[in-house]
Amino acid sequence: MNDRQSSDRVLNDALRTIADEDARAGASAAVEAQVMAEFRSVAAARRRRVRARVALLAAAAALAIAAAIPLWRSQTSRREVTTAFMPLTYGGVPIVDGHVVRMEVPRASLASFGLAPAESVDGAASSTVLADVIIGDDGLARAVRFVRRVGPRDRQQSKEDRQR
Amino acid sequence: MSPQGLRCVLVAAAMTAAATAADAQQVQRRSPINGTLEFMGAEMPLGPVVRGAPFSGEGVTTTSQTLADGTRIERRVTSRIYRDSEGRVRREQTVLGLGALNPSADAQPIVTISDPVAGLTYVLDENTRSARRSRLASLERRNANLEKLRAAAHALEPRHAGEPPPPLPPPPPPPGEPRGRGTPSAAARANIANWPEPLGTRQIEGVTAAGTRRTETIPAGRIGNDRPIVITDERWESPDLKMVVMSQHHDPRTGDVEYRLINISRAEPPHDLFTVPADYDIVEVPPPPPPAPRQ
Repeated sequence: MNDRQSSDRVLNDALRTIADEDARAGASAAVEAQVMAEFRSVAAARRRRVRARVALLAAAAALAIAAAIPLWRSQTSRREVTTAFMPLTYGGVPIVDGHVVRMEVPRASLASFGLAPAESVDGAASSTVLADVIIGDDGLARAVRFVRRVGPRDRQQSKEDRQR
Repeated sequence: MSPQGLRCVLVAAAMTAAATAADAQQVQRRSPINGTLEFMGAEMPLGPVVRGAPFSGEGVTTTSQTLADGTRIERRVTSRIYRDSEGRVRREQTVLGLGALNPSADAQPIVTISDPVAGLTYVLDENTRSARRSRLASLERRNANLEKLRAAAHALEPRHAGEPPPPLPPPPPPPGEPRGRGTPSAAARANIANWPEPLGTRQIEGVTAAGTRRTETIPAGRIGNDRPIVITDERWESPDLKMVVMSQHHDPRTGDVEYRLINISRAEPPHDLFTVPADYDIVEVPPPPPPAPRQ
């Protein structure tokens, strides 16, 4: 029994000695600080990469939005409805050659052709509508048709109006 | 939110705002001021492209009308027209007859360039030093639209109650083919009212021109008139230039219109007349979208 206790003590002492030696064999404080600094630097670089990626994605999203807005606007006005051509002052003069030009004309001109009640356009003197005008090589305007650009929302509205 | 994230959001917001503002600015820039008329773009020429017949000339249009009380109204506008060997056309016109669209802007100057080589048209604005550029439609679409426009223009000519509409003039032949293709025979012409009567050829402003006259008569009593009303249209066209060099329209109800192409030069016009000046800003005009389906 005593022999066994004595052996245990010897063994414990030996292990403690090894542990003390191991502790003495560890890295110096300077090395530890250097390792920790390196670790922090790697972690910071990783964080920077993640942020840069997020920033890049955000910029790409912003670009996509910036490009999509005008496209979306043009998509929504992709169709045109026009009136028939209506004669202007010189509509009765035959035309051989000429050209068609698109113009912006005062909204009030719709009333001149009976296309809108005069009172509904009086307050909109500064607003305009699109019109195509046939002009002869002689410089005389022959006819006009009015143009309205319609988007899906307008088409849906007119569909609903018809259903009512 | 981290400072970088905040920066990203701010950049996105700024770009979105910039795009929206640019769009709004474009709309604002296009809007005419105080209801004047503004030319947005030249859509298409009504006639075919004529190659190999360059010229330049001055057009003089005179409209005159005598009212019942003896008051005489006469207006005269001049224009310049240039065409090069490739079929590009530059027109410098003062457009008359826009009073129904804006009473204060009946006569409106316009400069257009039609360039079938590049497939582009321009409307030049000297005041803003800018050019609105539109793309010409494809040849097929242009031809289809051309026929519709010619029919629309023809339909506007005066009709008299009870009379069948005169036949549509034949479509212009493709370049290289002589005009007059599809002309009905003499026997067939005799059965068509108001078919143009040939006037022979003569020299006008140094070019040979072939003339035709169309006469329409509104018989007495048709529209409450106590005597026949005779409307005449005379047209002199140069086969070389494929241009009308003189026309006269007489209608006692609306007055007379005379057009003359003077100072005709067959020399090739300077190339820079068919290009946009370097100091002009070019504004793109999107092509007209397709018509909405009929419902």
